[in-house]
Amino acid sequence: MNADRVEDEYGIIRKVLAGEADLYAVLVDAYKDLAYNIAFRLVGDADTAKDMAQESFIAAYNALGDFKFNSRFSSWLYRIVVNKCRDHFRATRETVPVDDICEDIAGPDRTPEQAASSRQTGDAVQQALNKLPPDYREVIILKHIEGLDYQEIADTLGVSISALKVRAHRGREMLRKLLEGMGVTL
Amino acid sequence: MKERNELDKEIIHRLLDGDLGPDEKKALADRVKADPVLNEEFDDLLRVVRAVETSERIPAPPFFTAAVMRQLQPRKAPLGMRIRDFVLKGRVLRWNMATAFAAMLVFALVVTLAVRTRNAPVETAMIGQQEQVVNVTMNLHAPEAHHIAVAGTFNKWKTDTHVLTRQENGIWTISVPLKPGEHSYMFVVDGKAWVTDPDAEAYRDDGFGNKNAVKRVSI
Repeated sequence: MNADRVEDEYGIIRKVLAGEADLYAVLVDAYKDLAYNIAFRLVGDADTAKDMAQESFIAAYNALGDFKFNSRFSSWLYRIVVNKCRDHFRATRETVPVDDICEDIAGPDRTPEQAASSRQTGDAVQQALNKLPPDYREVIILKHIEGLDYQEIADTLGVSISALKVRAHRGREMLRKLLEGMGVTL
Repeated sequence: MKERNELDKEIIHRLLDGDLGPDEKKALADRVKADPVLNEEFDDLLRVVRAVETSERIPAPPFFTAAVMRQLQPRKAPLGMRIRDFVLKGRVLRWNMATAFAAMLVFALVVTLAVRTRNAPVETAMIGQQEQVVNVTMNLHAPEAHHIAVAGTFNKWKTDTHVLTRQENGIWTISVPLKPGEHSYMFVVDGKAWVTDPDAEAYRDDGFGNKNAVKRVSI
């Protein structure tokens, strides 16, 4: 994103803050796919992802007065979406111990052939992502799907770069084992 | 052997994170070629990362933006901007009888206030006039008296503030500055006898069986 576009966004945000609420639709339209995609990858369910993404935009609008005009709107939105999804995980108590994941990987209830024939690779990747602990999932999604660098991810998640790299390392290893266990041929 | 394997994995992940320099990359490539197990692990991880990176981006559902906008609460503009808009923003006024009557009422109030404001200086002038005083001379013929004072409403009936001066003909006299209005008074002779002015223009019962003299002052 070039500086002009950032300045355009700043201009829109200032006008929204000045009372022109309708202009917020420009920002929603520009970033709805990004927000929905992250939410979907994080929660793994279309309806919940839609709710998370919409709630994130509403939260961003309500907190727009706190926007510091020293970063991109998208970076700010990343953080809000991730936090919304974390709140969702807490509310639904989604915590998946690593040991359970390893057992799930070795589950004998489906053959590799059945699994490979019944799923598209994309679905399999999403299913594997869904089984990662949320901390690992966030880093994998932001790093390998959204293409953020570690500094941006650190700013978004409020975690040190070294800790993020450890999570990415473990997350990738888990993904590999999960996809292997699902019999997915990549 | 296990430690070596973990070390190799660590290097592969550093490669995926973009943290390897050219020499480290070449060393890793050499080891991967020479070790079939490591080669397979490396290949697997690259495929996983590629599968994640190339997974389809999922678009937001239809009417997403409209759904968000419907849920927004109206945001209040800063006070200064609201005042500016109120003053400068163009608007169309729609009239009905109720608003017309309301407007007439407001107009009548404004006119009344304007008239009262215009009269205000007159009232001020009157207050100014009330501040003006008139010197009134009071006399009493009492050749035998040694001390005469006058007490009245103008000095809260104090008997020692306004003392008369004796003239050679036995007439005691004083000039008292009085504001416009009506004033009651009596002479106090030798500190004990309360005497009504025989030359007063009017009299009023004092409630104790005597009569106060009355002096009316006007500008």
